[in-house]
Amino acid sequence: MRKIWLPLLFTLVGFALIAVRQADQAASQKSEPGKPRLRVVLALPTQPSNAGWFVGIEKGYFAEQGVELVNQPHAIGLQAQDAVIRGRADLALVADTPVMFAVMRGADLSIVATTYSSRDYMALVARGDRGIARAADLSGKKIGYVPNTSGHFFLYSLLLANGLGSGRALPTVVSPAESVALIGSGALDALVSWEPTLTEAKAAIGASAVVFHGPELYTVRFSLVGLSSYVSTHPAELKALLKGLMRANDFIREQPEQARLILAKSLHGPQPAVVEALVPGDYRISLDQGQLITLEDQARWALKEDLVPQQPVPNFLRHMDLTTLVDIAPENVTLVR
Amino acid sequence: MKIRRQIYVSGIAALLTIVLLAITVVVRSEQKISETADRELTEFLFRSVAQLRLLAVETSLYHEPRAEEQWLLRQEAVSDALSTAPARGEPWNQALLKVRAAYEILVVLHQRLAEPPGQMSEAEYRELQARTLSSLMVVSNDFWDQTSQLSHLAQQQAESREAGSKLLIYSMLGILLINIVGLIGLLYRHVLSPLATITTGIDRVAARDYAFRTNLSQEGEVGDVARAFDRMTAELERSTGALELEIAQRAQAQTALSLSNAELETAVVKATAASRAKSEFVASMSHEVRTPLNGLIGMTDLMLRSNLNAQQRGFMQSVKESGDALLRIVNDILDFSKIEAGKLALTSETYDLHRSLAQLEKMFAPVAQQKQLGFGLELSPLVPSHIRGDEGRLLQVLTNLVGNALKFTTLGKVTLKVSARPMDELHSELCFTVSDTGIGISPEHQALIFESFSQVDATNTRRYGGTGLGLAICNRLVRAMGGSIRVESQSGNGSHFIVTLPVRIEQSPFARADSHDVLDDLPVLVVDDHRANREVLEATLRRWGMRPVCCESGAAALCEIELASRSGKFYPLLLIDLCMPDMNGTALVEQLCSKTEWPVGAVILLSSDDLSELKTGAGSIVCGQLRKPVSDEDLLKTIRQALLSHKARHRARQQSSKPVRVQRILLAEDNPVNQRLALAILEERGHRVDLAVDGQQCVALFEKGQYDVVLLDISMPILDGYEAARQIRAIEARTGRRPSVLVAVTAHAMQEAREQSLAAGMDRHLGKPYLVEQLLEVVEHTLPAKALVEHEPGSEMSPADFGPAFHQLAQRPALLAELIHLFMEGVVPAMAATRRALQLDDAEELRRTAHLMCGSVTNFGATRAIELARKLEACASANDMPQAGAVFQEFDTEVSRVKPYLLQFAGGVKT
Repeated sequence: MRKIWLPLLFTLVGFALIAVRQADQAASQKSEPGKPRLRVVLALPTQPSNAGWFVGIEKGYFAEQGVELVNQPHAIGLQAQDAVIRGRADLALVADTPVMFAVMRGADLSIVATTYSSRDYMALVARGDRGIARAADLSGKKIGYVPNTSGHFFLYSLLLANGLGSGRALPTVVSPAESVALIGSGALDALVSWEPTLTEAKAAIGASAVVFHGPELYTVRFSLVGLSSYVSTHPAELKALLKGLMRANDFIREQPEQARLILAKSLHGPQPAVVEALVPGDYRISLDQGQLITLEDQARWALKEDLVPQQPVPNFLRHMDLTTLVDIAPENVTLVR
Repeated sequence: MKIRRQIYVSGIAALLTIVLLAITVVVRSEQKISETADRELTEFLFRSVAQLRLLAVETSLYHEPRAEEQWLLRQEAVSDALSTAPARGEPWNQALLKVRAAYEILVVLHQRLAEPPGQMSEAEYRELQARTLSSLMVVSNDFWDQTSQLSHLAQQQAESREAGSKLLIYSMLGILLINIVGLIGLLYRHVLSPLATITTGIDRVAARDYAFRTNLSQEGEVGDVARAFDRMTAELERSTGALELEIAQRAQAQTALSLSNAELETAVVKATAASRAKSEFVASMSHEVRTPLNGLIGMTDLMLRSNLNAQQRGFMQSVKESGDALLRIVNDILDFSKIEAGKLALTSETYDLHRSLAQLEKMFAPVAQQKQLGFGLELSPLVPSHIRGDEGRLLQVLTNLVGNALKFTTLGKVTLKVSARPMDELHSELCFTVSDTGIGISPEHQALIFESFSQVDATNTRRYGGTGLGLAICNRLVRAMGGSIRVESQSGNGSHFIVTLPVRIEQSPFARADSHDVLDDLPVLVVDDHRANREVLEATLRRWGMRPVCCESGAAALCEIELASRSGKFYPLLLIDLCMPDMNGTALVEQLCSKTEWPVGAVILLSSDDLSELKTGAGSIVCGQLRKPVSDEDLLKTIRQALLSHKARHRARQQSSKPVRVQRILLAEDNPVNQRLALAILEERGHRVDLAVDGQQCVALFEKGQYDVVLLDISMPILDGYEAARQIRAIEARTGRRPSVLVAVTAHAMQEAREQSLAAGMDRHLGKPYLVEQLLEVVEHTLPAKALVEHEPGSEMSPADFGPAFHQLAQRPALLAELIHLFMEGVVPAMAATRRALQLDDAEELRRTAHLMCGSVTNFGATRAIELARKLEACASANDMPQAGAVFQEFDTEVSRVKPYLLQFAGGVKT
């Protein structure tokens, strides 16, 4: 009987070798045991744009990469960026507009990578009961916004595209904490907002709430930023974080429902619509030329509006970390280098 | 596990691997097609976004319709490409969605760029244009990035697939290689290696090394072959060992056998020499005993013929009887010696059984008469006249039995009954019963009497004489002839010795007469008081076409003849028994002679007794005499001669009184007693005899003189009889002299001696001791034709070897003479042609000439010449030239013997 299995044995050994090879490939993607533990304090806004981070934390992907990630939650990116600038956090997740303001105001920030981008993230929710049915109806309406945020720039672009510049509408500065109440109370006719506040605002307005998106106007990007001093000296932490995030993004693409559950848990039980708006394709790590164009575009806007001290438009390329992402995912770096 | 099954499994595994490999290759090919499509799509998108961005800038700066037109063309192409782009699964599909979304925004931004300022201020419009263009750059960049993402995914997927496919293919190939290597290893281990071992074994076996074993333990067919090979070599080794042992034993035995053979050959040589010495001794003894015995008996015969007183005659008679007894004993011993030596040579010749039996009866009739015993021969009509066999040996047996019967019977009678039981057309079983009323044989002795040197009672030997070999010899002879012998007897009540003998029936030359024969419908009157004799004669005559009428007495015959005469009939032939009650044959003949008014035909007298008394009285109408029992041949011959002589009755009477013709005889004999004996016998008959004491003197006398007969003793000093005969024949050939009759006279009774005599050119063979009648018969009856013609033509004119054809011709003398002359003219060139054919070894020519000569001699019914001519023809047909030469010599001699007779006969006819 030994003889009959001899040729089969050779065949099985062959298949086993194939399986081992595949297993090795899979194992190579896992953690390398024995690595020194790294610790990073991340200022993380509790927004759907950071779902990848929440998943990575929840699934332990960062820990697998040897990073002890300390989540420092913030309401919005601007606050998270301030935490970094103030030295309370090592890194922060923040949209490009606050970064533009911070750089033009003298902060030495460095963008490690864009972790989220969306054309529908920013929105304007209006009260229909104030005769607002389309964007042109915003003329003469009181529109609330949080200054120095992406919403600020979004509002500018929306009004310009709809011929409502030059004071035809009434932009009104609000704080993130009061914005929902103001729109709900009717103190505002409209409000520039993003999730999860957007859903809350719509709920506050009620059935007459009208939402305007401007995908052609603005593509918002959330990026991992840190002080340049930190970024240049902590490549291992950065790479580990990005690797963990890439695994988390893969998880979102592969298991979006699980990702939504984790997101809901991280946002402390928001409206179902918040998590439903999660688009897996938006969670992608990159560094692209469009971000530079956007930052410069916003810089020109800020100078024109005197929102920042007059100065030449900064070279934001110098605030881009071109090493970390290039090392781990060069195909994701489309920035002209 | 059989090798075949292992190969099957390996083959199936290899086949499966190959199939998987093929499937992989096919799938990979299809994947490459889709990958190519994806690569073409992304390349198209890259080109398109670059072109769209350029056209957007042109539109923003110059608002040229051409740029708008080109944008629309490119926009349509991109729309088609994106709408038909296939879904590939995640993340391809999400990236593709992003591209589509970016493209749609690009379209919107382009429209915005192309829109006129409307109510906007120029500054506001420029700001919006700048802002839109900036967005368009960002979106197009996003479009580019997403396309890059698609391209990257496609490439990554292609590389992954390629790597996977390569890994799979390489793995399959590896598996296949491993499988093949395994299969080769399997084949090597289980097939090639064992086969090499078996091949080595075969070479070793071929070199006769049978101790080799493969000792392979493999399973499967090759293992079976190896084990069978081992069994074969084991068996070969065992059998070879046994064979070698046997060879050694045989060699040893061969050596021993060679020694034994040598001894055996020596013994055989010695035995052969001893046998030859014994045979020669017996022959020599036979000769040495017979020679003086011949003298003794012969002289006694002469003495008995002389004037003796009663006492002297009694003494001489005793001497004669003692001599005869001694001769019989010597003959018995000689026969027995020959039988024991295995030299008994039986001849196979056609002979007349009836004549032989008649001779036997004739021989014993006087003895029976002397002892006053009744003696008779009873012959069944079924007994064939002519049979093939050894006449001499049959007569020897019957003579012995009849002689014994007469010897041991003192009162009563002795009979010889001969019957036949036909077996088929050609064969018959003869039964000879010799019955006597003698002393008989007790049952306990009946089993012994056929043994050698055995007699019923020792006293018999003293009382009756004899060696006790007679019946033993009879027994051996009968068995040698294929028959059997037995005895039925009761002590005191006589004996019946019964001999049964299968024989081949031969066509009798006298069996039936030819058509238009003078015998056809010839009325014959048979007169015999013995009914059996009448029946035998009647059957024989009817077989020949005659019409016999039988009468049981002389008176009845006279009555029949008278009745026939009155009715105008006539009996041309009468067969009359001499011894009849009331009126014997003589009286009947005298009666017939006296009846001159009756036409009486030729009369042949038959009797068991001596017929000499008829010569004086009734010879006028008696044309022939026969002693019973009569043979067919003698009867027919006598009938023909009688009919002829009846026509010349007066010549018959003259011839009957003529003396015997005087012959010139040369006697060559070294023994004085035999010289005196032969001289006395021959000179008493008036013949002129010259004596030669040795062969050389004989030849010398023959060369000087002319002799009718030369009697040559074989055992003579200086020149023996054979050589003398050859020289005499040579003299005759040289001088052209008429051939003399050469007679070998010898005591050598062996068949070889007889044949040797004939081969030496002699005509007759006379054994010693001979009777007076035998010598005279040889001298006076074996005469050249010239002498015979002077004898009475009706009785002894025709030699015994001339058949019925000649007798028929003899009735037409003119035709016979013409045929004889034709024969004489043709025979010389025919003989010369035959000699040439023999010299040239030309078998075909020899056969032709032999056939011609056969036809010639057949015309005259020359039996011996016909036989030899046929034999010569057969030899020529068989291409047996040496034998043909020997036969021709005999034929030449026979023709030389026949020619003078025919010439003389032709001359006689003419005169």
